[in-house]
Amino acid sequence: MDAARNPGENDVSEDFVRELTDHQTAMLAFIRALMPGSSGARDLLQEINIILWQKRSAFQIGTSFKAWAFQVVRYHLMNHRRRLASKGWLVFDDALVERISPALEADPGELENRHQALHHCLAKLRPKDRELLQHRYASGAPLEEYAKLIQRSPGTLKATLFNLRGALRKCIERRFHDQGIPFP
Amino acid sequence: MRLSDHQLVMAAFEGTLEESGFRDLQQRLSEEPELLALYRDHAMLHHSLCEEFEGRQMAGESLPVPAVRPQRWLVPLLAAAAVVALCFVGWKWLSPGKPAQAMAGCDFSADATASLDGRPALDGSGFSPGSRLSVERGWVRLNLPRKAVALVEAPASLVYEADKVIRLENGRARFHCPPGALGLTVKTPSLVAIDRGTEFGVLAKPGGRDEAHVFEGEIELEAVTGEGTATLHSKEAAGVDGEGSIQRMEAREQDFVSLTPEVRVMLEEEFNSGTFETGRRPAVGASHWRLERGSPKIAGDHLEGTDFEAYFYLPTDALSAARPVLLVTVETVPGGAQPFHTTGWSGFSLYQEGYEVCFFGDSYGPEETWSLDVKRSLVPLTPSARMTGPRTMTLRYDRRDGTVELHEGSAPGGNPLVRSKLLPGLNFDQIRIGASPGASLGVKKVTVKAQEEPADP
Repeated sequence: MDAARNPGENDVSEDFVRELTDHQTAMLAFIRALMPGSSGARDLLQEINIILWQKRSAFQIGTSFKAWAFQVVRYHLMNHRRRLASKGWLVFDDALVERISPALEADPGELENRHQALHHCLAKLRPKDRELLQHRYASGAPLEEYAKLIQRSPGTLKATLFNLRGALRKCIERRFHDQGIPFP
Repeated sequence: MRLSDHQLVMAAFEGTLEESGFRDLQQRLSEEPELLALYRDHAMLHHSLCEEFEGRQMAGESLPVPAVRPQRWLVPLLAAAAVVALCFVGWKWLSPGKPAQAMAGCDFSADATASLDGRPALDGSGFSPGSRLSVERGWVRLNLPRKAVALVEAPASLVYEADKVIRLENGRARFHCPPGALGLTVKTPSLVAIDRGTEFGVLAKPGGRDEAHVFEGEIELEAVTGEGTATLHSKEAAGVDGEGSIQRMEAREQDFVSLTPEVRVMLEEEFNSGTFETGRRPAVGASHWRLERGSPKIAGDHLEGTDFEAYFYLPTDALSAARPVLLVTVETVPGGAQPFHTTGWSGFSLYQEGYEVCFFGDSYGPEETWSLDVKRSLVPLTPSARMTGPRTMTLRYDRRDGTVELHEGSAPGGNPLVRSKLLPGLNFDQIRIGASPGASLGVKKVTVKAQEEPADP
């Protein structure tokens, strides 16, 4: 019966949740870009989700959710730099965050296109190269352990990863071009 | 761009950059647009790779090579599970007294039985990433992000793995993906179907052959075993077995339930048999009639009476964001010892929390015509031309803006007889049929339903 007492409130929440859901990936990408090499992006995203939910009444449906949410992300990183640094996470300083944020923000659509292109490019890799990438991004285990298991040197694997990323970047760009999508 | 720039940026994302190196990177990013562009490109790739492979890990896909110390790779998995749990708890805590907000909304067919993470699921339940939905009877419609829709038929079980990834463990489901939802991925034990802007169906038969059927647009199909892939276009389908063999076939759209319109019938009663008394159950409806005044009778194929009031409780969760339109259709016939049009009233009312919100039929007053009485208004609204006698009428209420209309016929048309406004967001909990002393009502059929959009707008 809440809807009767506050007509439209539930609809507003549903719209808000939809916006929040639609921007989860974009926010996560933004956090990862501002905290390179840190493993806690998902944790931080959840902290920010809760803040956004608490502040939801301040968001006006119809305005840019992305602009509002990314601003909250920036402020959260700035306000919690010391705490994040204590975990060993590298966070850019405030001035740099302000300066480069616009360049690092990506739309959900761009990320989706990139992900689809990546999917396409991964399919072209040799199985052992895919396994190396999967190990790197899924396991979190040191490369040295994997190197020992497959009887390769860690240095070789690092070089392979370097080359793979380079190849994937080129392949993704090509895929954008082939599909007529402007590459950002 | 120098090779060392690539190495510098990659080292940042590998977490192998020393503090001095990080300071150097910061300094250069603020001064060198080219490096910033390179950094962005790597950041996006890093993110995509994390999403691609972390998602697999969270979904329980095993790593290609077993780790020597398996407990180490459990850490991120457990951490991710803890984050999801914390998020859910936080969400519930921050929204006291309301249903948990979720990533996808669930609507159920009237006969559905389903469970969400082992607990009975209710209409309107939320479906969050990481949750498992089991449909034992009927169907469940999932309103996914970006307006994608999945309709899952019983018996079926599926896991909402991530924002755009669904694992159909067994059963049959149909998917509608508008352009904004491009890339929705459906996994089964034997195949992976990736949407390319389309409408398609997936059938998962563990131990058998899984199938993907495209009704519109195209999908990319991958076999889970081996490296088989295929692109399926409109009207094409393929089956994939456990060994990765892909066999093409014609799509069978008729095997999949239609997605629209979304309808939930709250009450359907034809007064053509039995007796009318408190406790009478309609053909469709979760409650029963409650006779509070008078003694209407079933005569042949209809109910008729004078000076009576009978109520029926309606489910308050039927009207929702997914089904915002309420339609009340009544088929009235001559009946009873008194006339339908009198200075009293005869007709149908919708209630919320004990208050009559609106009435349609013959209202109080001397005008002999069908009318709509919005109780906050001073006088009932009458059509421009009088509408008299027994008729089939449909009341339409739109929860989104509060519009209420009265139409002649069994469905709303383009020109309502009268139109008014109620509060938006109402959830009616009772319907009353009846007539005042000195007036009669004859009713053959009453239907109350909530739906996505009118069937014949």
